[in-house]
Parts: sequence; structure tokens; C-alpha cells
Amino acid sequence: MSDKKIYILPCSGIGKVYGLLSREAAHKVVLDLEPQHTDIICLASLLLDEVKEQVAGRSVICIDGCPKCCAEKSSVEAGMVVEKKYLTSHFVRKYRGEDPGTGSELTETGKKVVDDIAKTIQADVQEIIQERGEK
Amino acid sequence: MEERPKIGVISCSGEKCTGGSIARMITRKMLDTWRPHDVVTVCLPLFIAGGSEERTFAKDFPTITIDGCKKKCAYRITEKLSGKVNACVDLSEVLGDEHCESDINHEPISEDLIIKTKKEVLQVFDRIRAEANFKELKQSGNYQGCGCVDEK
Repeated sequence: MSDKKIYILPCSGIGKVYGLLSREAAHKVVLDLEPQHTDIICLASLLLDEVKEQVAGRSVICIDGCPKCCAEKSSVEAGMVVEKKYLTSHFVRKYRGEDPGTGSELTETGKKVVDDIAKTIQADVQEIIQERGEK
Repeated sequence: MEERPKIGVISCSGEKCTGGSIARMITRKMLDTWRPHDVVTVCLPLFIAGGSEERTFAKDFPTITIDGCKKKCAYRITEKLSGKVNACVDLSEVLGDEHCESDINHEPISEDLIIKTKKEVLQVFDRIRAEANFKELKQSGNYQGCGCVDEK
């Protein structure tokens, strides 16, 4: 199973809350919701040749914090197959007027956003796994 | 009030191992609490996807990288894409592999590890700050280093 695991790749942006949301959501999926089907990899390491060889051709779901889409761009650059991609700011809109937190710490609203993102990705993972089973 | 020149601190993104989480936390503490007026940072992944502003970061700022493991991604990528850094703090050397190389989990990072890391990082930071010749630097001052939109 491990060689078929889907990578969950957050941008982990450090400046504002949107990167932290992406990071926490990715950890929730990989550690809690879909540990058997998913894995995580350090985004920064994708630039290293030894890591590129390891991940090329592998499926990935990207969670980006801003429209610069660092996670998605880095995945493509590394030869990964982007199955789904999300922007955390889109999930924050549902809680317009509420404070999701900062780049250091999430509020209760921020934790709800993380849950929303993680559940969305969990559904994606299950769909991908199901499709693979049908092939 | 006189504007104080800043030091760039760049953390590895460190999603995979505990050392990455510590590196990120330390960088945030530098920004928020320990040296809030003296530090500027940039998302490391922005170097990969970023434009000229990000890629001249280490040329504009005396820069320290904080790496969570022996791969030293922050150090290697910054030097490859941006410019020579003034110092690299490798947390696996400071705290040991048993703390840094372990897989990520939900356990809170112990205060002991934070204190030990703080001492090392601030020592390096203060040395670089003392050595830096700010008169020769053209700093952009307000650079925030993140493309995230303020959209609440």
C-alpha cells in the first residue's frame, strides 16, 4: 500500500494564517483521517534531486494558502500528478467576519476551517482509492 | 523613531518531521515575541514558485536559515535560488536526531526543546546582527514575505 499512498502537500506558508491552515489540515488528513492511504512530504525538499526521483509520477493533493500556489507549482515541477488542489482562503470565506487566527496559532474558527478542509480532502482520497480499486 | 534594519530568518517548511515543526515555531517566535522589530521572513516555497522579489531576499537581508533536519532544505534552497546565507542553524545538531527526525505527530513540542533552541538561535542571530554592515545594504524594510491574501 505504501507505494500507492497519496501525498498531501500543504504550502505551509509562514507569514499569515492561511499557510498554517493548510499545514494543520494536511496533518489532520495524514495523521487522523486517512493514515493508511496518505502521506506527507516536506514541500521544500521537492527541490532536491534525490526527493524528486522519489515522488515523480505520484499522486498529490495540494493545499495552498494564497494564489501564488507554491504547493501546486512545486508538485508539478517535481513531476507529481496533481489530483486535486485547494486554496485555504476559499474555506475561510464560509466564516466571513470571524477570525481564523494568525500564522502562529489558530482560533476555534481556524480549527473549524481545518476540519472543513480535511473532510473535503478525505472525501477526495476515498474517491481516488475507489477509482483505483475499479481499475 | 529610527527604522531598524532587519535580519532575514527562513525556516524549512518541515511538514514531515518534528524538527520542521520546531523550526517553524522558532521562526514564528522570532517574529512575534523574541525579536519582533528585527526579523523578516519569507515562505521558503516562495523561492521555488516566486518572482524576483523573493529570489533577491538573501541579497537584501543578512539571512539565517533554520533547518529541522539534516537535509537542510532551507539552507540549500536559499543558497541555490537566492544568495549566500550568513548562518544555518541545523536543529538536528542542536537537539539531536531523536527529536528532529521523528515523524510528525500531535504531541506538543516540549518547553525544554524550545528553550534549548531559543538559546542557540538567538546566539547566532545576535552575532549576525553585530557583524552585519547595514550601511551597505539596501533593505526594502516592509517586506512581509508571504503572498497570502487578507481575506476574512
